[in-house]
Amino acid sequence: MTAVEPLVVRLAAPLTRAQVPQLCEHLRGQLELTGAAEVIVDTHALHQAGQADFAVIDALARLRLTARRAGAGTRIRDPGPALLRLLQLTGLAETLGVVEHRGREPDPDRT
Amino acid sequence: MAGSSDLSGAAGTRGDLDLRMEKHRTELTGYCYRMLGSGFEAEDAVQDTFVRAWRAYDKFEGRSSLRSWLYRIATNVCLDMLNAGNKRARPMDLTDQAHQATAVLNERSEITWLEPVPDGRVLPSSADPAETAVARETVRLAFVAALQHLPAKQRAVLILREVLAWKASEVAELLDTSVASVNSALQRARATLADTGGVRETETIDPLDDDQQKLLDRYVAAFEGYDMETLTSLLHEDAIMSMPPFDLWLVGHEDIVNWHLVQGAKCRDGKLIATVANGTPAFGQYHLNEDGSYSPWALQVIEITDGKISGLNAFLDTKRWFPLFGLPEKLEAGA
Repeated sequence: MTAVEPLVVRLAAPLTRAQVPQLCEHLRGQLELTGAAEVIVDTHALHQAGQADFAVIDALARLRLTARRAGAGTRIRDPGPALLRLLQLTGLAETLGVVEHRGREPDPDRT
Repeated sequence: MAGSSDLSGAAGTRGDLDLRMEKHRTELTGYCYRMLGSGFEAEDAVQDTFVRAWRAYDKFEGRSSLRSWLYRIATNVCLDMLNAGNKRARPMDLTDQAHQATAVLNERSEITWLEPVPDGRVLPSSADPAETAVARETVRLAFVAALQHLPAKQRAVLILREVLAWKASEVAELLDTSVASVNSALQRARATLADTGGVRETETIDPLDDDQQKLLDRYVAAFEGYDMETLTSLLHEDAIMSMPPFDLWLVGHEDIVNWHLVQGAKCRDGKLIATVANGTPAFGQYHLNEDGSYSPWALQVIEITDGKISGLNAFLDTKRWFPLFGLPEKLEAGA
């Protein structure tokens, strides 16, 4: 197995649904090119801009779908509390929600 | 397509935008109420939706109908508000059943509670009685509470399919399931929202239903006469009584009657004025003052199941509810 670096997709704010197809197209090309098995979707900028709406959900879900089609997994990096809540509310937390926080200890065992 | 007459509504000028948005106000308020559980917040949300629509009108370009565009904006507005953390509930969602003899009144901040709403604010008037019935159906307290309790997968399917307009096949692929399973989840979600699914099936108000009218007349007579025997005969054995903003709720004849006789003794010799809340029969309840006049006590929302009362919901914040429902602040002596 060759270790391929995960691809990082940075979502910039403001994100609109119109940008989503292009994001996916770009990701598809990158996955093909690199053969990466993992995609990290960095939502830090959205959190800073206070954006957590349906455009973000649409983007996360579409990117997830694109990655899956190429056999890759996805992780969401640095989602803010508003986005986490929205993921819960829309029932997509489990599907989209492998989450990592940079520079922080992983959560201690929470039951 | 350009120039076709049914697109003129979508691609009209900004000048008459206010007017065209106004036509959708009531149905949008109903939509937001179903998501937010508060009539006041729903009206704020619609206002915000109109402001956002006005600002973004340049980008609208009439690619969809104005109506569906407004719905999309309203959904985002509501989700933003929900993100702020105001998910609403009924007392029955939050605490265990209490008993009259040992009941403790714990008041919780009003923001917690699912609020009653007058039909006129959320139900567009429709010439079609069947359509009116369906619309009423979906603003019942039980319905709105259920929306907030759909299992995650059903909520996800509902939102991807109906809000984001994904294809069933795409949803299936994302959720790692079959198209059939997506369709059935959507059906179940709609069924839960439309009715049962652990939610009591309660009747919506129907002025043409003689039995319902008789039941309500008997309830008014029993309550105003404080006739506990008759009242008992109108209640299901497992009827529930709640009284937000207090978090306690009682179940069954004995506890409900004793509550009326002990804690609620001040309600004796009161008056009820009929109204409609959440598509359901409701009453402005007044209590008797020493000078013979009457003052507001509670907005009662009455849930009926199979011809008997299954839920008595007394919303006690009368300063908030009576003006909203157009109920008088005071009834004169002899009223």
